[in-house]
Amino acid sequence: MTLSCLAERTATKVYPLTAEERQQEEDVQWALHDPEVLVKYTGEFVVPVDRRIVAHGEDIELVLREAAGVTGRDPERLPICGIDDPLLDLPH
Amino acid sequence: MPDISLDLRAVDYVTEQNVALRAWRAFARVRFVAQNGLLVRFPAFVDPGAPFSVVPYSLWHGRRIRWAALGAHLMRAGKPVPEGLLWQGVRCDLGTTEIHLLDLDAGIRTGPHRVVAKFARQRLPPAIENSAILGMSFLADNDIRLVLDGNAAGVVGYLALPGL
Repeated sequence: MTLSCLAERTATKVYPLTAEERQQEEDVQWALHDPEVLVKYTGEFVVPVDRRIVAHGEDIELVLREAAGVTGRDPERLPICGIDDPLLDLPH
Repeated sequence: MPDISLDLRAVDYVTEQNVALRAWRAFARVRFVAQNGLLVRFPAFVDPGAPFSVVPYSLWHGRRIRWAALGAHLMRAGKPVPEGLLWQGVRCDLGTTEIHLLDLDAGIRTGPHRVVAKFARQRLPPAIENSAILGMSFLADNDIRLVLDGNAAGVVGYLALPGL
């Protein structure tokens, strides 16, 4: 795409993963594969922290707010994922 | 040129005729940039069948990501294309944002990578809100090669990034 708005680009760099980023991914992988989570929270967003669902629901803002209250962390520092059949064929 | 592993997720189905089949989708581990500059997690999958990327309402509004509008109407050969910026029947703005790509095995994050996407103006059902879509324009805009290898054992894949 040669849009003028794309002309000014920040240089792409490589960074080492932080412990927080790695932990978030591990927690999400746990949530996406845990049989109990898959059954209990289908159709919802969940916030997994240290292999525990600390908040869940359909409204992402409410879920993050609740999770922030439970964990004492900023919402931006919390992982979130949807528990659903990820293979629905969606038209574009 | 780092390669970023994709998270190939499969779900097994069976038909009423007892035919088993496995469906796949290629997720990337990504971080979007929030308005305060922090990187926030949200699921995203790569879909070369989608011409543009898609940012659901729950992502741009719910996670308060940083983005800039590029327009609300598409034109082609001087004529409006009314359906060009719809997503699941919902009107969208065309916008641009940035993501970072994570590779757990290599222990790296790369970015920022530019994403031009449809930004949905309304919330949709949860199954649709759950993931962003990285469409063909994402690959083209960032010189990224999508590699998927399928065989009897399954599918593996990665994003090959240009030399950094």
